[in-house]
Amino acid sequence: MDFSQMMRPMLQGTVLSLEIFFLTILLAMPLGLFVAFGRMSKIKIISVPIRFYQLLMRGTPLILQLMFVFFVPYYIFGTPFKSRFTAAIVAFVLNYAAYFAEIYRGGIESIGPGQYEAAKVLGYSKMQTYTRIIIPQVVKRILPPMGNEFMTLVKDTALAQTIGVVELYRNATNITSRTSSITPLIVAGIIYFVLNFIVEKFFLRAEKKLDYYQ
Amino acid sequence: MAVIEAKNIYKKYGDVQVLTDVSVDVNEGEVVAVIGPSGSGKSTLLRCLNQLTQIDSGSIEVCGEKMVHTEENGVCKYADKAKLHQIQLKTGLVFQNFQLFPHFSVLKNIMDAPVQVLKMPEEQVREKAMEILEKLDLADKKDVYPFQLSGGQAQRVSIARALALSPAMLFFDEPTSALDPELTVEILRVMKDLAKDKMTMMVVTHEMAFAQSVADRVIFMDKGVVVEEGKPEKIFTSPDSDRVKQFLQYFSE
Ligand SMILES: Nc1ncnc2c1ncn2[C@@H]1O[C@H](COP(=O)(O)OP(=O)(O)O)[C@@H](O)[C@H]1O
Ligand SMILES: [Mg+2]
Repeated sequence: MDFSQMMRPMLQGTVLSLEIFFLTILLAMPLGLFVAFGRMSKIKIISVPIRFYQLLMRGTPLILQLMFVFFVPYYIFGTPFKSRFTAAIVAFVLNYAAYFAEIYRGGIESIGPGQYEAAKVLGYSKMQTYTRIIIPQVVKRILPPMGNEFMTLVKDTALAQTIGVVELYRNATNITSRTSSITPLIVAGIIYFVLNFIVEKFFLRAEKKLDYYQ
Repeated sequence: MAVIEAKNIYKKYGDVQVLTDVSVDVNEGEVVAVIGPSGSGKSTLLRCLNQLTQIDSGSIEVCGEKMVHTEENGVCKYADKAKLHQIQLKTGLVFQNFQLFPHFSVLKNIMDAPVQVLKMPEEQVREKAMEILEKLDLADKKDVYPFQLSGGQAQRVSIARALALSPAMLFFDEPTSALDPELTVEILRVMKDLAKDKMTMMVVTHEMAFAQSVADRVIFMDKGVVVEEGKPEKIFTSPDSDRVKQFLQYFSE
């Protein structure tokens, strides 16, 4: 098996890993916002279950969560998830939304009440206060922890293989066991590294862009 | 004409009665100074008058519009949301620690509310903002961000921000308390100029010289009640209340 023959499935796996990454980001970021506001709600029947959900997501291994999401429908409906990929996305989104929510919450709560009061006195609506005054400041403050999460997610996509999603890592190990060569594993490592190099660069850029104020 | 007419205000925080039967009014063009020891409820009064906190009982009218009133049966009723918003815009509040929006430039801090809240055309707002900035000697700072300003400049920007909405009156809550003495002077001068232009103002302050020379009327508060109220000449030279005497003595030491 020559190098280009090996690279084909590796790149296909990379595409799948990237799909998991982007879909998770795309869905978990907005979901996390709802979770954060729910968690901050003064209404206990909203905030308490949400806190429990977050604790569950943050307190148990993601690998277990993947298994649960994949197999629980089997015990309830008699059939497992039709698509392993969908199951993986559901698990990742649920897990990452919980983490994102905590980061959002920290960011939102770090903005003092004075900013809300200033906005109210100037006649901003609640919505305007969030969109124009609070959120832009929160974005700046949460960039570093969000960067961390994004980089962790790039690596976590490899866990999708535990429920049979043939992403980058699974492809690499498959080829390795077929050919007894560790080259695919090294290549996989390099690909994960390059992806995270790009993620890091992206966040550094964003931080720099918001550097104009303190 | 009365810009503010507040009657029999009661306000509790938890078990603490912070305002007890406080009545104040402010007439058009008048400068009212509110003085008194720390914790006497001065900020809370301002916050009630600006809808930052709700009163338990009493009534407040702003420019003749009912913000809140208390019915015979003791139920305290606020106006509807639209009306409250309209009333909110009639007054401005300047905070002790400025509360500028850090992510907006100086000009944007001033322009954003008129454009976003009043939906005024941007060009018109810009003209007006620049006019105010010139007047407050800040024109050269229009493009900088709040973190680049001195405390005195930041406080002037926050005054400009409030003025841009053309309020009928301005409230100040210890506008110079966060500033060094030499910067305090620059804010007091701005307020003096505003008073000269007949801006209606209610100022919570520890600057007794300012209260004495600029205010038309002084209100002394202690433990949530208005202890004495009158012309500065009277309050500062021959107050009726011993509590006021004590307080002023402490300041003259
Ligand atoms: N949000 C709040 N919650 C509980 N107590 C408060 C709150 N704000 C003010 N108080 C209390 O109300 C009293 C009056 O406070 P304040 O109006 O800030 O006084 P002043 O401005 O005259 O120093 C103080 O005893 C203070 O501790
Ligand atoms: Mg105070």
